[in-house]
Amino acid sequence: MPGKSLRVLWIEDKTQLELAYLVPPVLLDGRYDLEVARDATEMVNYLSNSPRGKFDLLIFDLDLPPGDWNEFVIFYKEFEKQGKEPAMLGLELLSFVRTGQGTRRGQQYWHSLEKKPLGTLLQKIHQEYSKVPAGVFSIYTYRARSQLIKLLGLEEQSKEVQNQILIQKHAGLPRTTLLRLLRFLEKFYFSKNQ
Amino acid sequence: MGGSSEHTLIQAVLKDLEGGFFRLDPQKRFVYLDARAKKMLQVQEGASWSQVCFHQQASQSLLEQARRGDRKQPVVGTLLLHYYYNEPDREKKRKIPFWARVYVTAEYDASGTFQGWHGYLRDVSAEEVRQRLERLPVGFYVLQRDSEDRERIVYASPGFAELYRCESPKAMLGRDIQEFFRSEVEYKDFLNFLREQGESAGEYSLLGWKNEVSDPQGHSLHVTADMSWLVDEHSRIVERWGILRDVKKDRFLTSRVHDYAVVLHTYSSALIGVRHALDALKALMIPDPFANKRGELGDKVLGKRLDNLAHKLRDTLTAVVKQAHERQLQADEIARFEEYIERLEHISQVQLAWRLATYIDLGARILHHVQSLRSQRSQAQKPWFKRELLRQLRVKAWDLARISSLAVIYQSETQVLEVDQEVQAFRDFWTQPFRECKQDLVDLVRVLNAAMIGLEEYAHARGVRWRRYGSWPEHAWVQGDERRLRRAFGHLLHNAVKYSWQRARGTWVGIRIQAEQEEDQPIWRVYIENYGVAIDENEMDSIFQFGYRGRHSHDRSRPGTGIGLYDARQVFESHGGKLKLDSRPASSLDLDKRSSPDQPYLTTATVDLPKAKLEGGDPDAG
Repeated sequence: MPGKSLRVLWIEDKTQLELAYLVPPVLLDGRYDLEVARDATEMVNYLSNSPRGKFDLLIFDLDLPPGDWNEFVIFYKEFEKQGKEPAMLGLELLSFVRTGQGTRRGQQYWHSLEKKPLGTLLQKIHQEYSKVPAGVFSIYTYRARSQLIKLLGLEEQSKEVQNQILIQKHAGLPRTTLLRLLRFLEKFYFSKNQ
Repeated sequence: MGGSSEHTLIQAVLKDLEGGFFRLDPQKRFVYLDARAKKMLQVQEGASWSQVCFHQQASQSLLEQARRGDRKQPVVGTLLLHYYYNEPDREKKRKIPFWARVYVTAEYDASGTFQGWHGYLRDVSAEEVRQRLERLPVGFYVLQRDSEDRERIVYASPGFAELYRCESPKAMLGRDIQEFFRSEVEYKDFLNFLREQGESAGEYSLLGWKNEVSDPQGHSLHVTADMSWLVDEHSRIVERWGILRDVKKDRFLTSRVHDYAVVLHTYSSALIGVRHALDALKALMIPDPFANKRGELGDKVLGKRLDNLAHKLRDTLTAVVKQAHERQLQADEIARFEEYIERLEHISQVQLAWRLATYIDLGARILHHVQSLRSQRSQAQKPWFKRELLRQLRVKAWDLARISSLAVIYQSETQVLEVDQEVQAFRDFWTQPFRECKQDLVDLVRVLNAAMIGLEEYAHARGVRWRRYGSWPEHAWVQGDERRLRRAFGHLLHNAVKYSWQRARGTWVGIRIQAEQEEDQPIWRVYIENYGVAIDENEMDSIFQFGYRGRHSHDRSRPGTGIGLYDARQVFESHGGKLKLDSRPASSLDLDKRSSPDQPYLTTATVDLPKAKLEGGDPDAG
């Protein structure tokens, strides 16, 4: 299957039990080679060095744990301390992948990484993945909607298209939600460009 | 100022209080400041009095009072003064206010010509107190009586301004407090009431006073206040300060917390319902290989079992497809089976959680297809699929789906039990202010046993056993609140279970209780030890912060609120005790190395609680 299918990185920390039920339709469909990054550190590891080749699609969760990388841990704690908003490390990483910088809220922090190994890796990821189609699947999708529309360049798209790419997570999502998102991204970005 | 007059003044007025001495010329400029006054006010000779006064009118009026008053007796007042503080990395100086008790006397020369003032001041408010008061969601205020005999606001916190719907605390300064009473008569009555209170009790404070006042727009406000006041020699209230709360808001908050408790209770009930449903499902999935063997649910053992079942299913599917080709049978299901054979190879390589979910889905689909093939038998070409082969396929598909479902059910059940405990502890934590804190004789042995029984099912679900280390005393008496102590030990035991790793020779949480002496005080020391997730050394302090979750706490998706350790420490400290945590590599070989959190750690929670002093001797001593 790998080789023929689209390579997908699902950046999501709850794939073990809560969201595992969304996976079978994707695996049984067989058109997508799905891998998961469970935290920010894993995401950087996958995107900066994937021996099986570059990913074709990225799916982001906005609230992502930091993982082992100390800079992410510091960032996460700093944002959590502010208390007004959730840390939304996933949103920051999405912003970085697309634009080469974090959101306005995190810009100062990202600047401090410029000459550090993590900063270099993130820049490399930005260069490789800024144009790779991405979708969002998070409980904070509604909350960050306007930001996400800009980051993913969906300003000109209809609401229907935006809704297909920006998925709000909630209890009772159909089992086929992830598969539908992947199919839509594939059709929208790959068929359109051909 | 002569040495003897200074000495006399200090003896007469200041006694043994510490503070700073100063002198002002008639233009209200400092002509002398001693070292302490300089330190407090951060000014030098030549600076003006107004420069250090936060509220000009009140401070100027104090000097005027001294000038008009008795030349031998100082005038006393509490003034809000301030100094400027140079914050590092900031260009602008920050104004730091503080409350000063100020004693001032006017000075005259031999001919009776006014020479200025001399005085003494001391800091009566720590900066911390002020900051804390300002952070409270209540109105903090200070009133001073001015030369026109009016009580004016000289300090208002943001909460006070908000209560009275004023745009800012600054806008309230200088206002006559009488404006906030519904009538002059009501205000006078209130002052008389305060005087009577003070006279009868000899204490100038009043707690929990409730009244209806009005804001500047005339809206009625129901408030409750705690206040203190100072009186002069004529029993006149010269200064008042206190804290004001909006009663409606208090009630609102109280009712909100009750609402949250009700919601949490509902969640807890729903979780019990879910648990019941999972039990019912388990009953149908027989035989259940995990019923008494939780070890079979470990990733490696379970993975192997699933691979074996998937392999058998794949073989059977291959046999069915082969038979279809041999007999040239036409059915849509055959193409599906061919896809599944191909997919099964890939699925066996994905992570276990995904494999489980996919095998359930796949098993269900195959059962549906088998049913469909059987129903086509009567209309289909002959010979159709062998009955036995279809039966085999049904059995293999059901086995894979059943074992996968059971594994998911057991995982979910553990999670439900875990969350249920979290919800209950969370509810207990938030509603505790509404319960009286008891001071009974409590037996720690009983408390620990009750906490362990409460978590028995959860521990069992996670394959963890309790192990009592050493010989426990029959009783271990402490003074305190049994419910709170049970909750606090519940947090520690729950964490110990939650953060335990499975070990080949069984997983347990060790608990020891023993009598000790700590600084000559007899105490009970409880150790709770588990083997598993590490706590970083540099997290040992922050781990006790409210809402903080350890860096490795997300290990294997363990849920939590970050309240347990905070709450446990609060409870133990409120009982005069201590809680300490220690986490070190479990293997002695790792002790000298830089340890990795990927390796198991031994985490020990140590609780010290003072032994209760029992009349008639310690029952457990005999």
